[in-house]
Amino acid sequence: MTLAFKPDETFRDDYTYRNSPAAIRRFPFPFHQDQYMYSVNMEPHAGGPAGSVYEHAFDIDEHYIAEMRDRAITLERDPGRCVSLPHMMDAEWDTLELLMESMARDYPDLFVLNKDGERWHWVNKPLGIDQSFTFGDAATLPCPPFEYITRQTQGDFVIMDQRDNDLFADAGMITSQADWSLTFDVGMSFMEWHGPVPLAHELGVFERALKYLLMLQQGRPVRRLNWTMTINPRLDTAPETYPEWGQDRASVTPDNVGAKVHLRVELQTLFRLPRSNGMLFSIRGYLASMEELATYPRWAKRLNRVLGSLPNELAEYKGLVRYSQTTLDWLARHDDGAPLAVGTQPE
Amino acid sequence: MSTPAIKSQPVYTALEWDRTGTHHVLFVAADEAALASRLWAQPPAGPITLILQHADGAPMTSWLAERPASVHTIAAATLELALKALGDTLRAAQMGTRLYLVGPEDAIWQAARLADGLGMSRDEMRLMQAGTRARPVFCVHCRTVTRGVHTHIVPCSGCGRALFVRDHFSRRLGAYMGFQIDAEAPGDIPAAEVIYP
Repeated sequence: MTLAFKPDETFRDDYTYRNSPAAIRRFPFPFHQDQYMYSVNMEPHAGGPAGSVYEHAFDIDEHYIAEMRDRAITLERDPGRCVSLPHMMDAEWDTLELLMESMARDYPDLFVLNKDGERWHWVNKPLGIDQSFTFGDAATLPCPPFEYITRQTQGDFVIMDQRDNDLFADAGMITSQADWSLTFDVGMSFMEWHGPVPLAHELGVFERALKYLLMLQQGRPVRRLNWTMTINPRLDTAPETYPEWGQDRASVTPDNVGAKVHLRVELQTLFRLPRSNGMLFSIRGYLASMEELATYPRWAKRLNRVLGSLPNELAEYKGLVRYSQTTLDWLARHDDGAPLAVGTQPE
Repeated sequence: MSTPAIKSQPVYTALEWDRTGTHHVLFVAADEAALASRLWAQPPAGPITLILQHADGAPMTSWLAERPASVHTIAAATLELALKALGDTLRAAQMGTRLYLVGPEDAIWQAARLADGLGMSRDEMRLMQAGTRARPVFCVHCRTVTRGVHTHIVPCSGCGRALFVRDHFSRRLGAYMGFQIDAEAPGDIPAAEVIYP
């Protein structure tokens, strides 16, 4: 696939982010039926159809350059969005290796990695980076290895440390999160970290997920989808900056809902790391406006039914309450009520 | 003890001596007569150090009145001094030391963090909330911790924003999360109610 990057689009201020028709078509629409409830829903992350977001280990798309610039802006404003506890250095190098090897293998036209023993040479063509360094020697990179490589990879990242039969969120690069704070949560156990999520604990979702993940093997990554909604195509919806974006939730009107309200889907993938025995958790976000999604009537209908039947606790937790009715009114105009077969496909 | 609303919120159980320990350090920042009587009635084997936050001239508490004569006692007039004494004690501590923390969450989690920094593991520490239920609250916007919070909404002592006090708790920060309650509708701030007496 040849990627036509859109380097000048923005995720703040004038919000010029848009999806091309090809990007809409590959959007990972998460609802295979008309109701939604939490589930573990993990499956092997072992590739997918050519051109789909599942094809490669780490998906790079037309928004790559613009997203990396937005991450740099967020980090400039708040360096605390990238945190790594002192015992995580082995896992940082594991992550750098996994990301560089994957991207060079999957996108050879964009990324090149050459190794001569511990002397590595990394070329990132879209971002114009050419870096020689010594693997394992952080002094040979301009910043620590985890920060270095995640400034060049789309999506948020958490590295979990496995000990005492638990997973601890001990490092993270989090600049495009759905309203959770790395500064506050870093170092938490799996249950503590997911503590605020409603209903899922009672369903046993996190217990089962933790049990499953503790057994995750190297070379056998897994994936799942998660979702929320965001007003404007904004990546930085962190609690830290809630005073900046909170009012946007009150700005949705019948006239602007189609362009302003976005479905935000996270492709979550988990990889066992070889040296540290840690786990890389990639949270790769995709944003599409209601108008973009409605170019496929099937998706507009499905979303109308899912939102309309969403439990109140979930709507509150996801912050949808102020604009969900306006959104439903808009979606209802695209829903003829005809039954939809199971499946997430656009057509 | 009621079930916490959010799983990160600590659940405390009644404190017992850890008799696998060979040395015992008891850090106390609240009067809790029944607990003191119970613990002192059956002390464990091995030396015991009591670090008690106890203002000069305050009345004798059960922690002092009922302690066995062999207990090494350090009384500190303020939490700050008590934490300093704890640090000094733990720096000189031997393998097999067990740490017990009794008091308001603000005190015991500051103590736990100090002990963690000195290499004590979670298995070697036991915590029990006692005294005021007031919360330390971490402002996620400016990172200031506002201490002694009794209400569910409180002005941040750093940035002044009206913070909603969430049940989400960070052991590393020893604080609950606070975020601006009127970020979506500026000025729409409900009256603060005392929830943590």
